[in-house]
Amino acid sequence: MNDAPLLSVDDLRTEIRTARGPLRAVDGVSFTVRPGEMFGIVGESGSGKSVLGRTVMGLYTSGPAMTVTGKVVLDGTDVHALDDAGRRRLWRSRVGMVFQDPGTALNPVKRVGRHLTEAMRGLSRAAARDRAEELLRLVGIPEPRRRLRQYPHELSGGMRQRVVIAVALAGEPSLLIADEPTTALDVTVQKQILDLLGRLQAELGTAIILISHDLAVVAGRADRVAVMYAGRLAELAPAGELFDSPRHPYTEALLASVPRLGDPPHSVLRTIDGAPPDMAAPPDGCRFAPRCRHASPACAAPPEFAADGARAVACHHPVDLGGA
Amino acid sequence: MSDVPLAAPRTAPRWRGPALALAGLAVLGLSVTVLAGHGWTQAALVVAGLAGAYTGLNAAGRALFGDAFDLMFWLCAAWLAVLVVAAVAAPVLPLGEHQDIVKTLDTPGMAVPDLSTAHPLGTNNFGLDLLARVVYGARSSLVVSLGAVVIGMVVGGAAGIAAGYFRRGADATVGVLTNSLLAVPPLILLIALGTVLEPNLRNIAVALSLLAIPGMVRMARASTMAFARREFVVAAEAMGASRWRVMTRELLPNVVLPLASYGMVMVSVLIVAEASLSFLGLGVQPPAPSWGNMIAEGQENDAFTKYPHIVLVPGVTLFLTVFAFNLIGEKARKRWDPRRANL
Amino acid sequence: MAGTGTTHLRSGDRVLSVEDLVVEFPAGRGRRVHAVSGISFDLLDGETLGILGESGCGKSSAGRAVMQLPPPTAGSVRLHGTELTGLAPAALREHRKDMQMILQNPVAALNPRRRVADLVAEGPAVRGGRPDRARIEAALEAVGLDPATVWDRRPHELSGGQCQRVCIARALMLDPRVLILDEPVSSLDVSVQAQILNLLEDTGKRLGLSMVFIAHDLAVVKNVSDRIMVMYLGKVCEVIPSAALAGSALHPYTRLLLASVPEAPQGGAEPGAAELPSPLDPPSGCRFRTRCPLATDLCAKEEPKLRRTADGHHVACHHASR
Repeated sequence: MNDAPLLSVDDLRTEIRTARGPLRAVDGVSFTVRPGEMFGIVGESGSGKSVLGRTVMGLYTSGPAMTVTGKVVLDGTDVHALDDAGRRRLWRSRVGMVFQDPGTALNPVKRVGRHLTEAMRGLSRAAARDRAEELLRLVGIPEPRRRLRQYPHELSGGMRQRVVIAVALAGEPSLLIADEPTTALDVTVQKQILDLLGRLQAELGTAIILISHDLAVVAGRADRVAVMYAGRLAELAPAGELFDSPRHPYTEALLASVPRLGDPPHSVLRTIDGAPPDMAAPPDGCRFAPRCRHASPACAAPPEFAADGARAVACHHPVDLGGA
Repeated sequence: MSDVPLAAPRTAPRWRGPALALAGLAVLGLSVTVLAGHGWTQAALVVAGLAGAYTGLNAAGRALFGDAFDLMFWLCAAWLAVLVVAAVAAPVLPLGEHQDIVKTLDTPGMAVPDLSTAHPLGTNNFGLDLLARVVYGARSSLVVSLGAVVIGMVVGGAAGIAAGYFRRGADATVGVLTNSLLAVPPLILLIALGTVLEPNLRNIAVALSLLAIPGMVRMARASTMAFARREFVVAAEAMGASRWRVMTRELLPNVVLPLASYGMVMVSVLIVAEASLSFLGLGVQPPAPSWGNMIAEGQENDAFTKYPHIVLVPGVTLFLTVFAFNLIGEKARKRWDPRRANL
Repeated sequence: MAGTGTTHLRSGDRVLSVEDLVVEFPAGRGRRVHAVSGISFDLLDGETLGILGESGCGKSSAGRAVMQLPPPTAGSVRLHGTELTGLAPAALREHRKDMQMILQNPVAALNPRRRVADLVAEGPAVRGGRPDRARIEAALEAVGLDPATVWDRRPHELSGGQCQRVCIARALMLDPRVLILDEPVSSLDVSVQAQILNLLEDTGKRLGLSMVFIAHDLAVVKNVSDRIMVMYLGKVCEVIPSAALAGSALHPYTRLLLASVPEAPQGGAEPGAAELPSPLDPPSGCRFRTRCPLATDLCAKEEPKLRRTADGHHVACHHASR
């Protein structure tokens, strides 16, 4: 906790312009990521978690399509104060991104080797090839020398995702943003990829932001987890504590709605009534209040994202404190 | 604070659009009336006035109807509407004589366009009124090209849907036929047909539809294949829908929209094709007017160099119409492209 | 099975019985995809069978082959004792009415140009009848939709969960006895998934439906099923009572799946990192042997047959034992 944060995100807002008016995809999100930490972001579709990841990365910046306000400071660099060239330099050396669909993240007409060597600078051809081979070995690809000469379509989904991770690692980034890295993959492959990310975090000391809709994926891997709902953070806590004793009613309900292997067959699942709000016209006050069983008139005012030790929760009536 | 940058474009002064539009129109009006005869100055001011008026009206439209407003689209739609109404109502409109040379013996030939006379767009060498000829020419041009597109949509659409849904044998057969049709150079095909068939509107439409069919087949086949893979087709089959029902109730309503938007683009191609046929003397026969044979009149006795309006009047009409069909078709295609139709 | 065998088939009141189902597709250049290679299963009245497997294991092809969409390459599918394979199209449409299908992507499963009321009325309309308004409203209410709100909507105006409810209502309009559900919740959000699973559970119980629930998520399959069939590369590995899945699964592949579930305790044996073999050229003998920690020469030579290890529990493996 004493470490200076590697990444600090302060009151970040991303508003996307649409025909129906501005869509507040990310609406006042603040958090920090420590060096070498695995930071999980969990949310359902439409919660803004992917937009958040891309805004942090600097892929989304203010322009005709959207407005970004707030601050993202990575390693002392204000990401949104950089010009295009500066941002490209940042991506090349400080931060890498792993996308959801390994099938489309690689250019089908480029060989694996070229994907990797293009991400490197200032190396001779031979050195770049050796480094590429080393990267493939690092991400657990057998026969790396042969794989360098293959095209993406010759690889399975899991292998492609390993290549995508290797490309992201080429610049030796201090932060890796993995947006749903296993959603398109099978369970057995998913475990391999998650194990790989955990190993990279441990061996290389790379901080990783793991974005997922799947609570279980994040549960076993992340050090701390942020739960996102309707563009805001609902709760932030060390992973174990979050899953054992959720404080936000949304986190609690979400955890209860996932079927578990340990439960007997045909057990009734808890559901969350209603649907997430329309982000072009979100409710005032607490975004979750219309679906919340603990909601009270106090929820008409936006709850503060109140920190309490290592945990923080944005709720007027947090679970376990007799809020209801 | 985050609301400010977004709100900025909306709060742009509301009067700016209309003011710019008025200024543009004023410049345009001045240049046409007061500056008449000043050559380049006048031309430059006309262009400047048009540009100003367009930008201003577009801005005003956006302020009124939102950012999706596209003035060019409405101008094109208005042009087509005026054209169609005029063509349909031609017999009851107070137009000059369009094809009976006997009635125009005492009318001056090759009159220059002048809005203040009885022949606002001038006359041709027989003294026939060019405005009337353009309007009647629109009848044949539009009937022929729209007719050809409708034939193409029905025949090509049916063949394309069948090929895309059944695949295998049906697909191979339709593919061979389509490719054969595409292998014959279109102009040669039309010239061959023109020499054999009587050049009346129906035959010309049928001949031109041969140009439309291959594209329609491909379009229908491609969108059918895109939709046939979608789960709602499987769902219909699982509920016991027959193949006929799947094709007519599930596929057709989805395929017809991209097909129709492609048809709009095709209309413009066929208007030009009809004009070229008429220009070559294989289409609509003079003195009955069509835009193609009106343009062809320009080549007689080198009329074009002395009286450019003979060619410019039908030529500009043709240009505007083709432009309008293309633009609207393109807009419709983007809206209903099967690759984007992930609704 | 990664083998074949029929010891797990039962006698008695079977709604659906599938034997030696084979599905193959041409893959160009004379090669064939062996999607499903001789699987058998049966379904009792009111029972839910879960088919569990990763992508490419043939579970969806099996579900569609049971529906005869398209008909299987070989094998027998009997619904209420009527053999469906080889029926003429018209007769097939009539007999298959009792079996309806729910697909993975609920938005794509609805024709984007039609309105909800027409979509739900589709089944009877296919048969030449137009159901009255009250019946459509009742069907929509039964799946938890408000008829007045959704009546005139088109699919893209509804959420994924609402679309799946419309699909379920549409299937129920035909009074089916069997529902084939192909990954019905995998494209939905966690909270919506719970709603749909509860709805399926309630509906199944209320109408006494038999269901085949095809999915890749172990916990989801376990939650809805009475019996689970685990598939790998077109073969059956294990048939196991749902309650026993977490505790007493025997087949090495089922165990690999269980160990891969993110909520499972971390560490332990690193699962075989080997790749899924191509269904164009599946391994000889036991198809799982290339990734199996227990594999021996016997597994390459001889295909294991399903054998009974406990009541309702059958395993196709030479080496697995409790």
